Parts: sequence; structure tokens; C-alpha cells
Amino acid sequence: MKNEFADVWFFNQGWQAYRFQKECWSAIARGKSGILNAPTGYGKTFAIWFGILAAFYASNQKRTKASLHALWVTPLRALSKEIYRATQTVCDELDLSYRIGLRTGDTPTNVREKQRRTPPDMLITTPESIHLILASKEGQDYFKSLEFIVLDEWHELMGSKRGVLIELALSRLKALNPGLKIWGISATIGNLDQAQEILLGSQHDGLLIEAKVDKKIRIQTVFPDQLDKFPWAGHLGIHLLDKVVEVIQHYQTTLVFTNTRSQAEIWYQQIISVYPEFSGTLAIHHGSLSDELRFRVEQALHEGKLRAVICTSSLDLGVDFRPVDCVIQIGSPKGIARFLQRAGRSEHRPDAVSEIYLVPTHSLEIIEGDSLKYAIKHGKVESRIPYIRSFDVLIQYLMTLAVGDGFNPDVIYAEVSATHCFSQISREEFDECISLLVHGGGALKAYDEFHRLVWEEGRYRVLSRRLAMRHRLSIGAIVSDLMIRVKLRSGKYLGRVEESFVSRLHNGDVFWFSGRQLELLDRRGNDVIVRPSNKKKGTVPSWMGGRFAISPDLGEAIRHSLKSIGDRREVSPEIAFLNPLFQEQQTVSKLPNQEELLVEQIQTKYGYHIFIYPFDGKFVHEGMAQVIAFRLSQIRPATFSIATNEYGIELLTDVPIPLDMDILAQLFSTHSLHQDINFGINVREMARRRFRDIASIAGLIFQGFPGKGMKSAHLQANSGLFFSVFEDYEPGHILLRQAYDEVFDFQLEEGRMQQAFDRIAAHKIILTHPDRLTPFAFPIFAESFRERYTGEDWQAKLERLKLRMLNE
Amino acid sequence: MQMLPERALYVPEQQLLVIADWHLGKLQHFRSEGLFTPAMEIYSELSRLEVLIDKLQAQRVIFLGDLFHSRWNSDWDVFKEFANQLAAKGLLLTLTKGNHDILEEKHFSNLSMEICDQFTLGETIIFSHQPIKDAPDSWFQVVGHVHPGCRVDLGARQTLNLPCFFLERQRLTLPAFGIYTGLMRIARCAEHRLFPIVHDSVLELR
Repeated sequence: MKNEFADVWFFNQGWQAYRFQKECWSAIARGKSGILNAPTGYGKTFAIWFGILAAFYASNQKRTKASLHALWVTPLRALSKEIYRATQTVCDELDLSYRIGLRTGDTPTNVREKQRRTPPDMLITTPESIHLILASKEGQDYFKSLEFIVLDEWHELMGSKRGVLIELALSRLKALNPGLKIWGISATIGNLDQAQEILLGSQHDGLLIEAKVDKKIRIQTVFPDQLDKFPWAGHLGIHLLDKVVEVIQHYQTTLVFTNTRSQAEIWYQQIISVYPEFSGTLAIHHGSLSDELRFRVEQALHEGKLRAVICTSSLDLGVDFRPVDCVIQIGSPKGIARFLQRAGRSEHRPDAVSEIYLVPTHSLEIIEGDSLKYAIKHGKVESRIPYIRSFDVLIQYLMTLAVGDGFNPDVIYAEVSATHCFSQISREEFDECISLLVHGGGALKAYDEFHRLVWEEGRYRVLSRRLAMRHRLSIGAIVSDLMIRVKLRSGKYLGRVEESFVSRLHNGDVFWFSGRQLELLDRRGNDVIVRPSNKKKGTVPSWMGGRFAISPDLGEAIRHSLKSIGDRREVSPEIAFLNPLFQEQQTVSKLPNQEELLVEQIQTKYGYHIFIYPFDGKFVHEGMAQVIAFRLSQIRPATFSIATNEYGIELLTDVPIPLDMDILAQLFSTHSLHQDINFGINVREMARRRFRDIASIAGLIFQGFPGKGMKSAHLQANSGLFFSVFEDYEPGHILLRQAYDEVFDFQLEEGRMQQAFDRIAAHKIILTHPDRLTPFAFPIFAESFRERYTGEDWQAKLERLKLRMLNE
Repeated sequence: MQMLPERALYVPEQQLLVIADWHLGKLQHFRSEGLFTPAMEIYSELSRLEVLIDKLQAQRVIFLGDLFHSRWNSDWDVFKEFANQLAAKGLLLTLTKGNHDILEEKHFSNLSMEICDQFTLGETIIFSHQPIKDAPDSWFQVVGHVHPGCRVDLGARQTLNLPCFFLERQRLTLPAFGIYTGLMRIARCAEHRLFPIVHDSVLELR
């Protein structure tokens, strides 16, 4: 089947269409739905876009009134803009009447209003914006002529609660338009079939079209001159600065990816101060910067004006920068898919080789170069595990509908229970969610003043304008702390930092942000006013979030690398380089082989450490550590602070713990393991942490009206408080149950833990008492994030503290 | 003066009990704003005070502001009845108004409670919700408002956040009496003396 629009346009560009593009055009022309599996930057947008265009003009239905024909949903604002630019260009060049609109969080109100009154033919937007439209009067009418919905970079959304927002929006849109065609675009993930099923429904007859682009990637590790035998995660790899600059100078344009925004700020600051000649050609790009700043950087990248951009995941997706011919990853990429995505940002031409350099931030991270090569060679890639039974998102959605046109519970129950997320929801659970919104849940009390939903003409509605307004402001499934705007005295807006960071600063203090050194002049409500400064010392804000653990699949690859240490034949440069470190480990303690489990007992000024190295990945280690702490505290009551990483576990106490072979055998016994997992792990503490996001998404925590400062302070409370109140007064509350379920589903992988204990049972346990921290121990010791496990009751602990304070 | 682990201050000579930042009615207020929190049992909160009064044989209670969380809700009426019963037993009740105490005049009618901005004991001990600016050096101020807390080191890289009393020169800040309130962490420095509530005692942090 021919696609005349594509033929003309591709001919004009001098391009050849790929096979997968033709397949998509043909499938769309036949009225099919489906998933397109293609990496970023190979024309996946055009594969879908020309299909939609052709379908629009092929349709005989005359659209008398302006109405929405297609929705294009992306996870990122930057990506939305990119899609807008690409599709609009086609319309302009082919002189088509098809009108395209862009709506994101920062579209001005008057433009939104115009989009509402006269809908464009296609609206490019985010999941949150769809819900915002549903939360407005006659919002559902807006979608009534919709024929296409495209979920771009669906793999990015699927493993998050934003994916649930999509599922719920789709359930409504499908009901409004039974003939709706759904197209997902996804990079390769481990569970592509499931990704397709979630979008198209369990009984779908949709297609899976694969781009089959075989892209070559060359991975090179940037080695330090000297191997540091005491690898410390705090270095941030800055000691490799000169080598990184060497790489940048070798290429045309380089993207330097860091894992956190503060790391990006630090790298930018370091390069500029050591190599001032980069000013003007080096830029910084991350999610907390203002749109204006980011847009300028993106523009300059397109025009080839920049030598390098220090960025975070903000440049992971979409945006296609032709001149980029090299990518540098600072620190562990934490996942194989993310690594592939980033590597793919360089050299989009299919025959070209993507160059990516890995810059370790501590010595042990060097091993990941070896691990990633192994993973890519064997086609290993992560699955995205979709959320199920996310009642917080459901409650938000019900409120959204009530704020908009109202809803009938029977109708919505039928739609919702057809989604993947809520396929297991019972009518009782659904009604429980509604009852929370109707009378606040729990036992109805006579004097209660709760009000939210009102029953009117067969529908639940929200009548209070204030409640409706508050709800619209809190739509979304990304939970972040209160953000403070950073502005210059002229009023120019630079970006946002976390409130907790600003609260530590005083007027006159200097900090690094948006690649500039700024002095804090004043704080007004939710704004801080700054001016550029030349003072020498400054701090860098740290942002919550954006810190992730290494994925299970990358963890597996790392373990594979570690196992090949003893393998003399064919070692990678990474393993060869690390050899002295392994030798040191062997000298001061022991280098365990595949059949051994190493346990080290070390005393430092911090207390008494026990290090254990099961090499089972961070997630399994977290649970394992708690089980072991529980078992130890049966023998000797104590409070442990726990740190874990990919390789091992640290248990730290302020009292000595006697260990011998018998005790160790008990600790790792598979006997009554299930019971110890249930009793031993501090699930409550984990649930409490989960509850923060849940309470926020469900609408229990209100962040305040933008720009109104602390006006809504009377509604501020932290989620920990709510968690305690629910535990005391409504222990069976549906949101509490969700918090516990999420812990069991996402955090504790009992199955994998069981396997690990089984494996260890066959291992020989080796106990050493090194007189100092070993190369293996050091990175765990340096982990800043710690869990706590208490084998004592709360009161006993406070008693102990009291005695200590009295003795001081 | 005695700093009590029940998050209150007691002046034995005058049999005077001081309670700061109770924030009664907070959860009920959340509910009236459409946030589906469980309503807290107001009676169990009230009995916390009652037990304390009985134990100490207090003659007067000063509420150091932020007694009630926000606008009127039914919890206020329950409290009012409770307060009047205390007054009937001969207790003197005083409220030094705080920023959260925004109830209209009418809700204080029929309530046996003295309402003022500050309360003075002797010549120089001043009780108020927030510190009084430019106070003479001879004054000793007792205030609430900030819900002070501090971080206590437990050893083995563990810390705890505990509510505390906070003395800075001539000013003592009380911890919030309300349990559903947050903590504001007070920095440790030479000018600050911090007295966290550790289990059943109040101890100075050094």
C-alpha cells in the first residue's frame, strides 16, 4: 500500500524509507493498532506520523467542526516539542491543512483556552495533561472524535505510576471511541509482549513491528593512571577530569551523562574552572533548569555550536541531535537499557558505530565496563514491571472524573477493571476507594464535616470550586518535594531547587546552579533571588529522586564479571586493570571463589562491622541483610545500621557481636527462612517510606498553590504522620495495604532471596578478621544511605541512649 | 522550672503548667478540607492533659498558642466543654494567642479561659507564643511556635530525631504538646542548649 505523503516527503529529503516504516504505514492504512519497537532516532516518529496523516485524508468523513483527530503522548516536555517540530515541518513543507497543537505543563493558559475552544487535529501532550483535560467541564467531549492515540517511548512510562495514568486515560478514551486506534512506540525491553498487551488489551489483534536496526556500539572504559585500592564512591570520578576533557577534544560534539543533577553541576563547574577555554562551547542541561535555558542548549546542540553538554536523563529521550558523535557516561549507568539508550545518542546513522566512554567513579565500578559488554553481547535487557492495583492513582482518577463531568461508578468500574493494572480489583475495593472520596472512609461519625464528592443526577461530582482547583494542581504521579524557584534580580527565571536545600542557606551564601555561581540575596515565598558571584567557595544543591539502584539484569552481568576474575584466559582490559585490587583483597582478607562465601569482621572507630559478600544484587541484599540482622539479634539483641551494594552487605553495631562457624551456619540456614523473612524484615519501615508517594498521589498531601507561599500551611503535614494515624485508627485502610503490597512486590523479592540462601547453603563460609577495611568492604562502608534494623524494642533503645547521655 | 518528658513545662512555685502548640482539631480540619484522614480521637488527646494536671496538682494552665489548629470544627466544642469542666474544678486557664489561633470571638464566649497576647510571671518571666522582639535583657522568655527537635547520635552511624526543649540565652522554647505535629530541627552550636526528651526523661545534649 502506498503512502503518497511519505513518498513525496522522503523523495524531497533524498531519503529511503526503512522497511519498518513502510510496514507501519500499511498497518495503519488497514486500520490496525500495534506496537512499534524501534530505538530513538531512526525515524520512528515518521513511521507513525505519515500513517496518521494518510488516514486523515483518506477518511471520507467530513469533519464539519474542528475536533481532535489524534493524540500523541510523550513522557517528556522536551520530547513533545521535538515531535511538534518534526510533524509541523512535514505539514509546512507539504503545505497541508492538518493543524497540530502542543500542550505541556508550561503552555500558557490563553493558548490552552484556545486549544479548548478550537481543537487542533492532533494534540501533542503528556499523560498528566490528558487527565487535566478530563478534569475540566465537558472535558470528555473534547475526545469524542478521536481516532488515534500514540504512546511514544511507552517503555519509559510503563514501569511507573505514570503508566497507570495512561492505562486509566485509555480506558475512558476507548469507551468514548470504540474504534480508537492505539499505537505504542517502545525501545527494546524484556517484556515487549506485555507492553503491547497493556496498551491494546488482553484480547487484542494488534501488530508488533520491529525496526531490527542492528547498531554497533564501541564501549571504552576511561582508566585512571593508578588503581586506587580503596575505592570510594564519593570521588565522583573528578580525578579523571583531564582524561574526560581529552575525549571531548577528540570528537566533534559530546554528550556527558551524569546520574544526578548535582553531579552534572559539579562536572560543569570543574571543567569550566580547569579549562576556561570551554566557556561558550560547554553547556549544562538537566530537569531542574528552566525551559528557556534548556531550550537554548538544545537549539545550540542542533546548530552544532557546542563541543559538549553535561546532562542527565533529561537528554535520554527523543531529541535528535545530529552532530553528536560521542557519549560519555559518568559513573554506573545502573541499567543496560539506559546504557543502550544513551550510547544510541551518538551517531544516528545505522551503519555508524556509537562511541561511548565509561568513566568510573570508584575503582570497583571499572568492572561494569566488562559487565556491560557481556550483557550487550548476550542481548540481555531489563523488563519494565508494570504497577498493579495502584489505588492511589485510581483515587486520583476518580477525583479527576468527578471534578470534570462526574462519573457513574458502575460504568467506571467496568472500564477500570478491564485495565491491566486493575484487572484484579474487586467491587468492594473499588467501592472502598469511592467511599474515601464520599465520606472520608472509616466509620461515619455524626459530627463529621468531611465533604468531597456529591451524588447528583446519577453521577458523583465535586461541587466545591476550591476542591476542584486544588485537585487540578495535584494531578500527576510524580512526587517531588516542594520546589523553590531560582530567579535573578531582573526576574529572569533560572530553574528550581529543593526547599530543603534552600532552607540550609543564609543570605550571602554562594551555590552552583545552572552552571553559574550564584549568591543568595533574598527569599520571597517560593522564590529565591540570586545574583552571579565570584566568591570561591560554594555548595551544589542536591535533588532528591534520580537516585536509582542498579537493575537486576545489570547486577547479574556484574556478578558474571566477578566470577571471571580467576579465569586467566581472555580477560577484558577492565578485569586485568583491577587485578592488583583483587590481589590486595587476597592479602588482607580473602578473594572468594565461586564456591565460597566471604564474611569479614572488622572493628573501626565507627563500631563493629560485619561484611558479607553474596554478590546477589542490591535488592536481594537489602532483604537478606535484614533477615541476618534479625537472626543475629535473636542471639544478641542489638541495633544494626545496614548498608548494601551490588556485591555485599554491611551490618554495623556499637556492641561487639561474637561470630563463629556455628553461628554463621545458623545465620545462613534455609531453615524457617520464610518465617524469618516475615518476622525479621522491617516491612513497616519500608511501607512507611512507600506511603509518602502513595499519600501524595491519592491527594492526602497537598503541596500548596503555586506562588502562594505558605498560605496553605494549615494543610501541611508529613506522610509519616498520616501513616501513624492510619495505623492507629484504620489499620485496614486500602492505601496502607497498598504500601505493604508495593514493598512485597517491588522491594522484597522473596523468591530471589530464597534462591540466594539455597545457593549459599552449598557454599563454604570463610570468616576473616582483617585489621582494616578491605578493598571489597570499602565501597559498602562508604554508601551514604543506610537502613536501620532494631532487634531491641523502642523503649530499650531510648533507655540505652539515656544511659549513654547520662554517662557523658 | 521543670521540663517534663510529657512535652510540657511546670513551674512548681505557682503550680503552673505550660503547654505549647497543641494543634487540636488538626485531623478533623484536614477532613473538613476534603483530605480523607481518619479523625483522631479528641478524647484521648484531652486525657493526656488531664492526667498531667492530676499528677502535678496544677492550679493554672497556660496554653502557649496554637491551641487549635485552624478554623472551627466540632473538636473545638468538645475541648470547650472539657476546659469548662477544668475551670469548674478551680483551674485557671490562659491562652496566649498564636498564629494558628484564628477562631472568631464568638467561639470563645462561654469559655472560662483568659485570652491574651502574653502572660507575665513576677516581673521578668514572659510567656508568649512567639518571641517578643527587642525585649529587655532582664526578661526571661518562654515561647513555643517552632516545634523544636534535635538529632541525637545513637552510635554506629545511627541517629534519632527527638522533640526537645531549646534554650538560647534568655529564651526557652517548648516542644509541641500535640503529637500530630512535625519537628523543626535546631542546629547544634555553642549558643544553643538542647534538651531532648529521651523516653521518660529530659536530658541535655552535650
